Amino acid sequence: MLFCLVVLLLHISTSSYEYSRYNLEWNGTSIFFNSAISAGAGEIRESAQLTGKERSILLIIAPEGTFTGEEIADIFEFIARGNIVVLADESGSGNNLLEGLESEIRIIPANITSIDRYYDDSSSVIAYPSSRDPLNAGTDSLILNRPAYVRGGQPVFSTSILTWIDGNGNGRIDEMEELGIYSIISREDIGNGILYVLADPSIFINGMHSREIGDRNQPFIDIFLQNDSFSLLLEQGRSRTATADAHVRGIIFVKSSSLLKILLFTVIGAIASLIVWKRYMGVT
Amino acid sequence: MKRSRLHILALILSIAVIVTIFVHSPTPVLYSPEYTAFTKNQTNPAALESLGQDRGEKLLPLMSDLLDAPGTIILNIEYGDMDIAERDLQHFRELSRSIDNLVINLDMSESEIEDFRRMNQKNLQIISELLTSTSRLDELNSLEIRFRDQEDPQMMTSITYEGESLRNKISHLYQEYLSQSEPLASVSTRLDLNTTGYELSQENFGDIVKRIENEQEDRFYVLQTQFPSDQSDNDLMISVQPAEGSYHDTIRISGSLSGIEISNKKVDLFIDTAKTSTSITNSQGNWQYQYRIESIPAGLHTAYAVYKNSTFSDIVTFSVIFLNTHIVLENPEISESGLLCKGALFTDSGPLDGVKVHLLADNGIVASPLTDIEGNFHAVIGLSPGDHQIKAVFSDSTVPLSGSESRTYTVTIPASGSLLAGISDNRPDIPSFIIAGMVILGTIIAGYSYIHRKKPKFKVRGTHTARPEDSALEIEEVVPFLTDSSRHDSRMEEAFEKYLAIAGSNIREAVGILFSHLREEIGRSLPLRNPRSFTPRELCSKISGLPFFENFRTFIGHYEPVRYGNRDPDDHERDEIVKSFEAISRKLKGGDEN
Repeated sequence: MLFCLVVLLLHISTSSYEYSRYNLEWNGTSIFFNSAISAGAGEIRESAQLTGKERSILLIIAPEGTFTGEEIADIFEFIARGNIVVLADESGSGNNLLEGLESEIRIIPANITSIDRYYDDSSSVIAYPSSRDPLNAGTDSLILNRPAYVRGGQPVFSTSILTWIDGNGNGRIDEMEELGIYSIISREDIGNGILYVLADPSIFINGMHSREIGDRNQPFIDIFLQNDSFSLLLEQGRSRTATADAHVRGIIFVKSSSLLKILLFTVIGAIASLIVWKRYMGVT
Repeated sequence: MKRSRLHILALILSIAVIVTIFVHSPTPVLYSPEYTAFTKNQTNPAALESLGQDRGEKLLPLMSDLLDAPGTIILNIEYGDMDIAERDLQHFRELSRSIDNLVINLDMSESEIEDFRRMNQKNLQIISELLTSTSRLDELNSLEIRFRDQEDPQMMTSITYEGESLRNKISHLYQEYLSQSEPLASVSTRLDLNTTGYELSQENFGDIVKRIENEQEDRFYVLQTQFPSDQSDNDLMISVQPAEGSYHDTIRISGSLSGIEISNKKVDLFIDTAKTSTSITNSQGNWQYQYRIESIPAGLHTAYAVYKNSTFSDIVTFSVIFLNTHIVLENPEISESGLLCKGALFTDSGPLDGVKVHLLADNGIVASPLTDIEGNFHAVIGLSPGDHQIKAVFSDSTVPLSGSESRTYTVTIPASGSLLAGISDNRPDIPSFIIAGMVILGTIIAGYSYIHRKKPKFKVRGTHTARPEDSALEIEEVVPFLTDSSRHDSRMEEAFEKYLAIAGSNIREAVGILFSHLREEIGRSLPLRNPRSFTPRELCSKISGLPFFENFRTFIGHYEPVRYGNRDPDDHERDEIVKSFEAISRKLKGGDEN
């Protein structure tokens, strides 16, 4: 019974939302987030928390919704002070942030596929460093998972020329589809800082942490997890990584508060004691 | 509910479950990485097969090598290094085969890479023919020197005429090579390939053509000045009608032989320096030949006639027009015998008959039917279950027809593994039927055996601790054993013999043997779990109400004092022990209810 209860609690404290840090399945980001938190990464739930931060990397994975003017202003100030923002988005939701930052980079939500692929599937695309940059230092290639592409800025990672936009989704290059090079990560200097835009947030999902992919992508991931020069801040206000079901949010809320945890265990203990006492009184 | 109805219901449910399992057995919905592998934004890598290497890393370097290959060969031809040119041509062929395979493997048959591949194939053909033609011209140069010294006008004429055909052919090859330049350079530039070598090869090719033209002019000059043709007794005329034609058209080549003895004479006809036919002149010296255009490339071709290897006609030319073909494939139909594919091949002029087309399934050739007189073709192909890409292709570089490809159809060949699929397809899947029947039969037999299994002789309800005086225990069912009686008798006899063997010296042990036997037999009959754990009184309480209860009570009444009280029974008591033992044994066997 106890074993079943543990399993049940474990089950209801996880989420099935894509990109969610509470999602233990292949399309969640629990592995990356656990590593990041263990490495001392901070969480930013409101943009106002960016005030005063120095030598930091703000990682925004798969944002949803619209960034408000205030949020955009806070992020702009954050970059201009000399920090780094990495926006990982393939849906185009981040474009309103890019517009607000007056960046020339735009995310184009297209179905990119390539002959250069790691897996035998059109969703698997390989990108290569296209210019010397700290973000591609130590990385020979990056394995992607159904990426989009970015336009503008200075390319940091690009596909080979054997890449095309698969408009009809059949995985093959057709007569109307043209080969070309597509940027996957671009950078732009804003003030004293740097903005990077990555058109594939799937790099951070659990399924991309397999041993095979890890050998190739790990140097890139380590830039965030093992960076001695910059602290990592994980955006949790707009990012889909913070998505969770209501009951999961409730459990997380309780887990996040020591006082609530103490109160909960006290209540459980009191109830158990009451039951045992009643039985004892009934027997005697 | 009665037991029989329960059994029938259980049987029906079992059959329903088995049938349900078999229905879903071909496509079990079980969890696997592939089951939830795809979402809108990503794919589960665990469900994918690793390729182990970057597939495209060979492609661009290969294309670059293919662009440079013709230039190397042409340069060697220009310098007269035919052996080296031949070796380089062989390497060019291997590279071309590599890109053919790569385009198929990478599934790029509708991309610019395929355009490049096609143009490369054309270049390979052009360069190959250029090498053959220039090698022959080199031979002619050597022969020319020999026969000029020998002052042989016939051979000189033959050499000159053949040289003219080759010049004509090489000039045509050069035009074809140039026609590919712009599209090939365009594709190459887009793919960031270096086209310098290819552009240089065009210049070198042009130099070869100029050189050959000059050589041929010299030959004609020498022939006309040193070997005039007016020394022959005959004249041979030739004409071509029409001056151009296309595939399967007929060119009428005719002429006349004049001079002495013109009737019934053999006239040899040469097309592109190859002897094509021999015609016989009529009484007026006229001859003709109907040339059907088939395996001859498009472009300008030469023809001339020769009489007795000494009288040559003029050289005439005719053009073979290149036609674009169109191939149409109807939507394939799934039939009992396979996948029926029908279509037609035609040009702008009309249907093409007697031509081989290829039917491709997943880019592999599965059938090659010929077109009929109306240009139609059909074939029935067998494919494995699943989705397949089907298309028809016509491609023949030996004929003056363009290649063409039909649209691609995706067909789904149904699986025939499940039991019901076999039934619904009217093609019973025999192995599935047999297996299903065996499983159902086995289940029925197992169920029947279980239902009619050997039941305990006595069924007793009640508590383990019921006292002998309680008559709460009731016999649920009494079924006498009919099958174990002989073994029962032998065990009883064995026990009794052991008793008799030691009753005289150790009655205590002897009665213990009798009790152990009875306990064992009662344990079998009821049945009891671990009967050795029962004391005599516990056993007595267990069998309360059974036919041998009183006998057992009597036995215990005598047994306990002897066994535990160490009392030595007298003869009466010994008789009572034996009688009660025998009575119990009989009743256990089932032959006596008293």
